[in-house]
Amino acid sequence: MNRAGPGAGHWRWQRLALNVLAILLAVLAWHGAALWKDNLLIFPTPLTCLSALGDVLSDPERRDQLLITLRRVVVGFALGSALGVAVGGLIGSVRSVALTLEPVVHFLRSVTPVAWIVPATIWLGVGEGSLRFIVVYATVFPVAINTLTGLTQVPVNKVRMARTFGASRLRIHASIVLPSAVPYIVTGMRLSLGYAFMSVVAAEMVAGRDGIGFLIYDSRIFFDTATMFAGILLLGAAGLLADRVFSVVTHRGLARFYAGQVNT
Amino acid sequence: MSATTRARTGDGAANRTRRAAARRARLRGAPVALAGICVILIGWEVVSRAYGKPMLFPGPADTGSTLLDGLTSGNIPTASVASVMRVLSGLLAGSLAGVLLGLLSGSSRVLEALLEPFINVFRFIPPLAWFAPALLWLGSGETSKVALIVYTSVFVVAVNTAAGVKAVPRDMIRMARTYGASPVRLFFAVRLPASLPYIFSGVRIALGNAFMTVVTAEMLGAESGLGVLITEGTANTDVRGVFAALITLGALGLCADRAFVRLLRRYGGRFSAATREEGSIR
Amino acid sequence: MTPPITDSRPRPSDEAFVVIDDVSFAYPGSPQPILRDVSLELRRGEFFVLLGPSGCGKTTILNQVAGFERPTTGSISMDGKPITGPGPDRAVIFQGDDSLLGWLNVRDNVEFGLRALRTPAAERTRRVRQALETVELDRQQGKFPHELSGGMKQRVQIARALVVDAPVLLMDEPFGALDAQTRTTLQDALAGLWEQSQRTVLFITHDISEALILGDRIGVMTSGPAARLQTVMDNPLPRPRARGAAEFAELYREVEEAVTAAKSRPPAAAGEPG
Repeated sequence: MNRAGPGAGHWRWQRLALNVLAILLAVLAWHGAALWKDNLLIFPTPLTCLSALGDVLSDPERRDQLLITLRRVVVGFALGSALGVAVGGLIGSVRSVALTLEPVVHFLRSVTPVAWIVPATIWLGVGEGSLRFIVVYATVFPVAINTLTGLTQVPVNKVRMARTFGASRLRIHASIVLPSAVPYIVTGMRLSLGYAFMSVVAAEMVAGRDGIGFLIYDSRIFFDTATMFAGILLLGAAGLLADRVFSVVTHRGLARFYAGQVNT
Repeated sequence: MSATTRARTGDGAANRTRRAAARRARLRGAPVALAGICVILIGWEVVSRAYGKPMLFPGPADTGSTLLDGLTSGNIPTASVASVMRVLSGLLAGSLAGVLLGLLSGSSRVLEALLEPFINVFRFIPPLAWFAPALLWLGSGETSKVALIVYTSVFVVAVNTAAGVKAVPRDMIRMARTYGASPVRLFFAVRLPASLPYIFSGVRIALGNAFMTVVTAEMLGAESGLGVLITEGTANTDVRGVFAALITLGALGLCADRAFVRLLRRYGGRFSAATREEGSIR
Repeated sequence: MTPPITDSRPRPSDEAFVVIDDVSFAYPGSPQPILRDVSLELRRGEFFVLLGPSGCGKTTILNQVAGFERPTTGSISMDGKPITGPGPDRAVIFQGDDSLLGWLNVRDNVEFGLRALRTPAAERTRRVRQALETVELDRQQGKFPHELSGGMKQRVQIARALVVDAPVLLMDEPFGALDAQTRTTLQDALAGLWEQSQRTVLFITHDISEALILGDRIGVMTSGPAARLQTVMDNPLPRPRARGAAEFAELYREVEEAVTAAKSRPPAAAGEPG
C-alpha cells in the first residue's frame, strides 16, 4: 500500500471523513440497539447521553472534574516518565543493577496499579498522594522497559566511532546512547499516557472523591447511566486530545532524533 | 516503528555461540542478582518494622507466612486456577478478535480509517469504567468478567497485527503475484505467516494486560479468584492478604510471560518470531 | 580535487609502522577461527589495501587494528607500542552510515571527535572548516545525514577523520554501498587527498580495480574460515593512475589470478604457515 506520493494530501481528508463516518455509524448502531432494548436506565440512547454531557459541561463544578483528572495525569505522567527513563537507563548501563532490578521491574509491572490503591491509601492517605502514586506506578514501567530496549538498539558503529576519539563513558552515554534511544523512549511514553489515564480514572472510581472517575462512579451509584456514559465519552475525548498533543509536540520538537526513519 | 525485531538470519552457529555466552553471563551474574534481591527484602522489612503496623504495612516475613498459609490451605491455588482460566479464555477470545480486526485494518486503509477512532479512544478508558455496563448487560456470571479481559486484549492485538500486515515486504507480495497467487492464497500463505511475529508480540502484551485486568474483572461478583482475595483483603484492611495475592498474581504473570517467550522460541523459529519487550501502539 | 600532475611526493618509508604479528582470532566458544596466523606490516605513509572475498575476515583485522577487538593469539602494535583499545591515532571510516549521528548536522558530526578530545573551540572551528573544504562539503554543513547522498555521507566520515589529523586511517569498504560512478569519483578524490597528506592507510575492499587505483601494496586474503594472508603484491603503477591504461589491465590480471588462487586455497591446519 503506497501512502506517500501525490495523492497523500487527498488521502488525509478522506481519512478524516472515514473517521467521522465510523463514529456516525457507531452512534447509529448504538441508537438502534438502545431503541431495541428499550430501557433507558440500562441502555440510554446517544441523544440522552449527549444531553447529559451538555449538562456536565455547563455545570462548572462538574466540568472542573475533568481538569482535576487531567492535572493528576499530567503530573503523574511527567514524574513517572522521568523515573522510568532513569530506571531504564540505570538498568541498561550498570550490569549489577540490571540483574537485580530487571526481574523486579517485570514482576511489579504485571500487577495492576489499581490493586495498589488500598496500600497506597493507607500509607499516603486519601487524596492526591495516593492517586499520584498510582499514576506514577502505571507510567514508570512501560517507559523503563522501552528505554531499556532503546539502549540496546544503539548501532554499535556509533559507539565505536566515539571510542576512537577517546570519548569517556559519560560522554558516550549522553551524546550517543541517549539520543539514539529517544524514539523508543517516546513510544514508551505514548503507551504510558494511555495507562496513566486508565489508572487515575480507575483509582478515582475506587478511592477518589473528585475527578472524572468519581463522576462516572457517582452517576452509576445513582443509576444515572446517561451521565456515566457522558463521563466515559469525555474521558475518551480527553485522552484522544492528550495523545494528539503529545504526538505533535514530540514529533515536531524531537524531529531530528527521528531523522531518516520511514515509519515512526 | 515495528513491534518486533526479527531474529537475525544466517549463521546459526554464531547465534548459538552468542546465546551460550549470554547464558554463561547470566549464571555469573546470579550471585549479584541474589544479593541485590536480599538487599531489597531487608530494606522492605526494615521500613515495615519502622511503620509498626503489620496489618497495614507487612514486611516480607509477614507476607511470606500469609502466602504460605494461603498456599497450604488451598485458598491461593484454587483462586489462581480460577483467575488463570479467566485470563486464558479472555486472552484467546480477545486475540482471535484482535487478529481478525488487525488483518482487516492492515490490509485496507479504508477499514483502518474506520477502526482508528475506536482503537484510539478505548485506549484511555479503563476496564473498570465498563464495570457497570458489563454487569448490567452481561450479568454477574463468567461472561462479564471474560468480556473485560477481552476488552483489554482486542485492541493491543489488533494494532500489532495491523502493523505486521503492513510490514510484509512488498517484494514478497509481488513475488507471489508473479506465480499467479489468488488474493486468498496471498493472504493465507504470505500475509498471515509474515505477520505472525507481530501478532505474537501483541498477544504477549495482551497477556500482561489480561493479568492486570483480572483483578478488576473479578470485582464483578466472582466467587473465587485472586482478584477476589484482593478485594476481600481490601475490605478487611488486611494488607497482608492483599500482598500475598498480589505476589501470586505477579509471579503467575511473570511465569506466563516467560513460558510464552519460550514457546515462541521453540516453535516460532521459522517465523523469525523474536518478540521485543514492549510493542508500539503505532 | 585534482591530483598532482607529477608524482613528486616522497615515497613511503620502509619502516614498519603498524605491525600485525601472527594474529589469530576466534569468537570464544566457537570452533572455527576467523583468522589464522596473519602477519602483516604497514609501512609509515603507505596506502595498504586488503583485498579479499566477502566474509573472509578482512573487517576483523581492521577491527583489531582499530582496537575494537583483541586478537586471540598474536599481537598488534603501532610505532612499537601495543594496541590495547581504540584511539584518535587510528581514525575509522566505517562501511555504511550508521556511525553518523543522525540528529546532528554535518558540521557537528565532523566536530564530534574534537569535542570528545576537548579541543578548544576556536581550534575546533578552524579545523572543521578546513576539513569540510577539503572534502568539498562546506556548502552542506548545515544539512543532516538523512538529507545527504551516500557519497556525501562517506565524505563526512572522511572529514571526521581528517579533523583529528590521525596518522593512521582505517577504512572498511567505505565505497561498497555506493553506485559505480560515485565510487570512482570518490576513489580518485581519496587518492588525491592521500597524496597530499602522508598518512598510513589500511583500506579494505573486494574490488580489484579499487585496490589498484588506491593501493601501494595489496594484500590478498584467502576465504574464511581460518582466513590467512595469501600474498602481498606491490603496485608499481605511477600516480595518478588511469583505469584504462594497458599496465593497469595487466596488473589487474595478475591480481585477479592471485585472488582466484586465494579463494580456492583450502583452510590451513593449525601450525601451517600462512
